[in-house]
Amino acid sequence: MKTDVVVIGGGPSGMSASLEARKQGAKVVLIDVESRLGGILNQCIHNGFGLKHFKEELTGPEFANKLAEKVYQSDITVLLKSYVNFIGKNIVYAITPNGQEKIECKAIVLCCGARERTAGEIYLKGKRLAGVYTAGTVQKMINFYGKLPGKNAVILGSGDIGLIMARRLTLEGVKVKSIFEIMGHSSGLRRNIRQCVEDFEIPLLYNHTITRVVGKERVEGVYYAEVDENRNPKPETEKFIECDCVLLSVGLIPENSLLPEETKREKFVLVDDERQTSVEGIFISGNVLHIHDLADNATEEGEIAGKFAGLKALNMSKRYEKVKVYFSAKISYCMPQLINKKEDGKFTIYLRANDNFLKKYIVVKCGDVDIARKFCIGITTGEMQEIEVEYEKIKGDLFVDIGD
Amino acid sequence: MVFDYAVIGGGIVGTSIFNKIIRKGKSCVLIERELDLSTGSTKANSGLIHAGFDAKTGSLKARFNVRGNDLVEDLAKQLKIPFKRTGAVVVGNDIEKLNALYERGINNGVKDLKIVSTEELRMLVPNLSEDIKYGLYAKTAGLISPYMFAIALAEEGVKNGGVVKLDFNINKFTFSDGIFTMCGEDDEVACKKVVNCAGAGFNEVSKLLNVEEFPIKFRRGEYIVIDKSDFVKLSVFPLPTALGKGILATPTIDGNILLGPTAEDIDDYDTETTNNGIDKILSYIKSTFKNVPLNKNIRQFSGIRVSVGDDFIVKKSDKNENVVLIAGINSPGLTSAPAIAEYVVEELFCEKNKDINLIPRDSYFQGDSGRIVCRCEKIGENEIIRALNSPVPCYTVDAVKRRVRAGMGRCQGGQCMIEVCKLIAKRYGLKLEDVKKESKNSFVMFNGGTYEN
Repeated sequence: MKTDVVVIGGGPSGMSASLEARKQGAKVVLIDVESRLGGILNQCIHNGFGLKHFKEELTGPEFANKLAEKVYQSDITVLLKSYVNFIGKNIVYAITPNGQEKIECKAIVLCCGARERTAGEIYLKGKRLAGVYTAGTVQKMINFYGKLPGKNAVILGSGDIGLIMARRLTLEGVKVKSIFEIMGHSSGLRRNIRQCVEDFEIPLLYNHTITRVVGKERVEGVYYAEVDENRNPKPETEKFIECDCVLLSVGLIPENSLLPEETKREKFVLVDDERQTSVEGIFISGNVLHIHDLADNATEEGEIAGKFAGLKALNMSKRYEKVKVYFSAKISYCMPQLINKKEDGKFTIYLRANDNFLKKYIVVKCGDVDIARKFCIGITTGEMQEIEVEYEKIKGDLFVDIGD
Repeated sequence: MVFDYAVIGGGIVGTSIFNKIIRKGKSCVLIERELDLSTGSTKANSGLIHAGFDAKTGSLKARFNVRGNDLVEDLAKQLKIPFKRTGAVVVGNDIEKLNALYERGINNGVKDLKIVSTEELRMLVPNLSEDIKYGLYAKTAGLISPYMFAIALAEEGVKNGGVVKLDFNINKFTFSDGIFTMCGEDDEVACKKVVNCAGAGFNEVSKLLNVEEFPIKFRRGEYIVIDKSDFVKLSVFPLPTALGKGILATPTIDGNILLGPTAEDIDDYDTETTNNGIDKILSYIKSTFKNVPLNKNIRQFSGIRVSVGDDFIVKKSDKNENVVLIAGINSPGLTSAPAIAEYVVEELFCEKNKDINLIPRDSYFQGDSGRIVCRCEKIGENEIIRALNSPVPCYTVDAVKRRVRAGMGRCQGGQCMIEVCKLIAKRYGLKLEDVKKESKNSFVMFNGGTYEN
């Protein structure tokens, strides 16, 4: 098979990347391992999606459907139940229902999303019993299959999926006994803390973690304790709580195993404002690049990657000198890290703060000159910030800071 | 029917003996109380085929280890399971101790042993810390999947007329007119000769058989599993101590890295992982290696080594000559198992005729893999279905995991566990909420609304 652009992953970012690449005139093949498009949105049956991108409140499947309909109305080739085994320069190998398929292409957009951090990765101590699951697995269990993980749950971690699942379990009649968060604050959205936890009076204990999972064959309870400033449990504060399942919401990790090793040396895959990696012709967007708070943001990023992958495949992209994006210690990361010095137009820098700030400015500097400033009433670690910058103001490397 | 032999305990020793008896053309039944084979020590060890320099010369351990190491290669080939001689190296600065170990190895009959220089050691283990100078290199050491080894031995046995009974908890033994009758909850088995290799359950079985019991001790070993990496390409041991071979860093046959085990004497059979254990592994590994890929840590587990004194017990019962007792099989038990089986069947039971040719078992991985279910390990639906239809029943999520590795990867089943449950449910005509993780009451999920299990 031959095409211009192959998009791997049919979630919001992959669908929007496909649509944008097609809009440029490129022939597009969209591949997904599941039997329908939508990615993880299909199991997110709660609302709160689409406010930014579609200007209306949607559930996950509704959001996915809006994009999927457009994909099916176009002449994008969709390969479902197909697993991409390997990607190389201008080549994608996939296992499809019809066997091994070799797809030659001119650009690849990787939109494979993220996976959940597991009990092993956080060294959760105790026995490996039935009843310890990641929050997303339980979401699938309940929303796809109508099954429950137990009757009395505790949740470790207060990421968005954990908060959403606290509400979901409660609505399904499962008692959520407590949520433990090792940090002093939640990494989830403020609206989720209000709507999923506070409204249901679920105890959320900050600076606490699970020290031991106990039981014979299934989970029968956990020991938990307060942690000190180094996040080590204080033994004297250890207590027991009875429960029959433990949900983990302890972070998402980009599932970028398909990327060539050379692109993965840093904490984040290095991309430019077109979302192209250091390997020419390989673009990347959505949660596989960095974890987004909103499907809307992943969708927007897919549009960027898809557009430039399309142009690249059609030999319509231009080369520019690149500048780097540096940032202060108040910021944990900025995306993208490289900017093409284009003549006109605008681009957006996405960033995540290291701490919570009240009434501050996000500032982008070029040398001593402020080239963009944005006032923010509240900046939290849980919510991604964004700031628009004009290309024509770039004279050299950029520095992003949070200041007055 | 009256079986010629009954083997009690479906670990690596039991499955090896079961297989060997079938090779002698005798009838045999393998009894296991859990829902799958290899759920005790066999599933939770380093997966090493040891060279044999460590055990005391003249001991059963030394004898069976060296012989077992010889036997494994052909056996693995026949069983169509991967085995690789990757080698092992004991590292340290105490050259005298290394020399003593070398001498012991030579006395035990170990081939291809040598003391390596600092430069050679760097080549063998590039990530070893700079201040470690010498090594004892054993070329014949290798890697195997311990649970897959046991399962494949049993599958081949069943394919050739043997019987495996899982979920068979023996309540009672009777012995009359040279025939043993074992009663389970709703099943009875009769046989002429019995092997007790029930591992941690040895004494319970011996009591029912009215034969010798031994003071069995439990020693827990914790491990850290790292996702696929080339951090070490062979097994790296510290110098051994009284507690065992020490914490090692080794690749597994599937490409993961194992760090561990610790060695802690405990009172009850308890497979918890602990703060102390994990900290011990981390501090030792960090002090001995550089570039440890701890960011790819995916799991921890602990296994129990049973022991009765320093050596293995492999002998006929003094109280009933139709019973063979096998106890205290700890390291190098996995390596020794084929040699123990050979000794038990040929020497103790005097089955001296030549092995018959067996119909080979089918690999799960021959043929089209189908739709990929486990994305991390790239395991297809057809491969899981072949495992579910293999000669030894495969009832649980962990049983599937051991056979095809679905759920062994970096997401630890987060993506595929429910799909695996669906395939199990379909195979056995169960509801999703009836599917178990490992043991009888380890239900994965419950029906929405009514939670009555």
